[in-house]
Amino acid sequence: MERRGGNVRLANFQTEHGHGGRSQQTARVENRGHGNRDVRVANRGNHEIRADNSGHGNREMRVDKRGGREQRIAQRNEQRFEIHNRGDRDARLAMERREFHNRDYANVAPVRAFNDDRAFRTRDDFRRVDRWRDWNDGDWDRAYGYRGIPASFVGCPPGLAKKSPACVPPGLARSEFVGRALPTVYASNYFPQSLRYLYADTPDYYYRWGDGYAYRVNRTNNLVAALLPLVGAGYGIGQPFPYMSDPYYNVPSYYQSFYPDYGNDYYRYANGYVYQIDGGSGYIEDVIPLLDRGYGVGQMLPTSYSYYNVPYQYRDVYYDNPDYNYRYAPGAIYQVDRSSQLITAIASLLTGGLAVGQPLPPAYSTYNVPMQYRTSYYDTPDAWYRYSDGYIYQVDPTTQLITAIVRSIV
Amino acid sequence: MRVRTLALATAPLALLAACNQGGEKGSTPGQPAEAQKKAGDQTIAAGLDANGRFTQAAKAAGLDGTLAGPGPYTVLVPRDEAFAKVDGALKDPGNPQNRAELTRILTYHILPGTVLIEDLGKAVDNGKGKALVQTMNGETLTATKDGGKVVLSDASGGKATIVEGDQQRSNGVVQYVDAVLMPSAKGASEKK
Repeated sequence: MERRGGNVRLANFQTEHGHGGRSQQTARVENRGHGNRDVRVANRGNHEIRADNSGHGNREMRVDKRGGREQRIAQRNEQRFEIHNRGDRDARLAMERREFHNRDYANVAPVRAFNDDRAFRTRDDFRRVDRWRDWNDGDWDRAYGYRGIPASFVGCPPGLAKKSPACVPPGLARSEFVGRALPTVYASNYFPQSLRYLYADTPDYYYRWGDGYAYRVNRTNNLVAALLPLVGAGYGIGQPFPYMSDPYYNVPSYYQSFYPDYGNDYYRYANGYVYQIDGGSGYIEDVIPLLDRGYGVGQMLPTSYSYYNVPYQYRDVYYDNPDYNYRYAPGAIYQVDRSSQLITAIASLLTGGLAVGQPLPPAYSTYNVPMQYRTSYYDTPDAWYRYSDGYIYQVDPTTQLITAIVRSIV
Repeated sequence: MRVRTLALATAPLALLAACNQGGEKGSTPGQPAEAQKKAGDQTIAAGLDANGRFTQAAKAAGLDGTLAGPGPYTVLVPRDEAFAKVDGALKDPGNPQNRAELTRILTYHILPGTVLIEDLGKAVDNGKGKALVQTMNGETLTATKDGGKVVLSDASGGKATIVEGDQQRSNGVVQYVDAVLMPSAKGASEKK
């Protein structure tokens, strides 16, 4: 139906593409300029809005009325509302299922489809959710799945975390990786040159890394022959530590003085790493690697080490450069390859260090000042001198208390 | 996808370009000239026998670069004959699974600072016959004297005598011992 006098026509055409369905809508606005304004709103199926001004001086507005303008608008609003509701419901379900919080994101069709994999959680899930990614990670983002947890350990059931490779049931690991083709995304993940001696290619095998594992690949058929975990940690930040009260997981005696349980923070140890655990929730707050306890060169630092933390006295020597980062963790300063996040060298070994005001540990009874400084700092009845972690300390022989740092020598 | 493949394909170029820049900073500015002259420019790592068992083990554990770094360290190097007497990680240093244990054993042979035989002797005298010695492993050794020579005992009672030493290097000192020292029983994780 047309209404000339009103000069408004809203036309609702059939969609041009049959398979396009109702989701495709078109609005066309024509102004022919006959004096009458001709405004046509059409539903064409390609989200097109056209303004056509032919300049004839007529104004025509046509309304193709299928229930009237108000009804059309109401219908469209309703449609929009429906879409919105559907997204809402999906997001709610998704939140229940997978703790999804981002409604808009959840409403995008590919994401909806992605959410639908109720049967399993792939280890890459966390990478795809923007708000869960640490965008400041830079390089780290490529090597890790989610906030410090290597991708392979994300969503790991507690019982499987201790398996090797961690998180993957032994049978599944065999079926998922070993004997299969190397995933193509790892094909060019060569080990850093300085680690090739540890993962040396042979005429039979070559090595690639990815998602917390080294893959040994058979040259003859390009199938994965073995998996070597690069991270000893079975647990990541934000996961519960299942063995809080088991004394088997107490911190090794030497490190207990560095990590005493205090207030609401508890420390436990497993597989080369000390875990800082929130006493209330039992969730892991930090992962601290210990050199020589199942972890070292050729492995990965947890991502909580994404910032520069080298002790001040060593900063002039070990600073981040385009090839390497330097990170401190108890026992050592590590040189870390920026591309792969693998530890390429132990730059410097450190002890726990001494502190002014504390008693001199009995193990420092031996004079150990470097040769160059012995003429200035030698033991007298009034003062002893001891070296530790880049500093020469002065000690009061009577009280055995460390009284001062007298020299930084790095 | 093509773009991604390309990006991944260029990654190894960057890796190849990267070379080991392990801190080669031997001498310290401002050190008295005499001591520096005596120590020479040679680092601990450079001064060790490249084909020796200790050097090979250090390389397998990734500690060779560390011993070329600033330090200073005192390294107790067991003679090659001593390696024949031990089992475990030192028998097969090349095996990646042994790397952790190897690191624990080797860092047990590295002391912070420069410790001369004379210093150990003095400490033993002051300590009424014995002295504790800090190692980079975190555990301690016990030093005693036996017929004018300094003897170091490990956690399980194994003894090693310093047979030759006080070899000064730009980043520390090397002492040769006649046995391999073993740190205490394995950590909690390996108790099973």
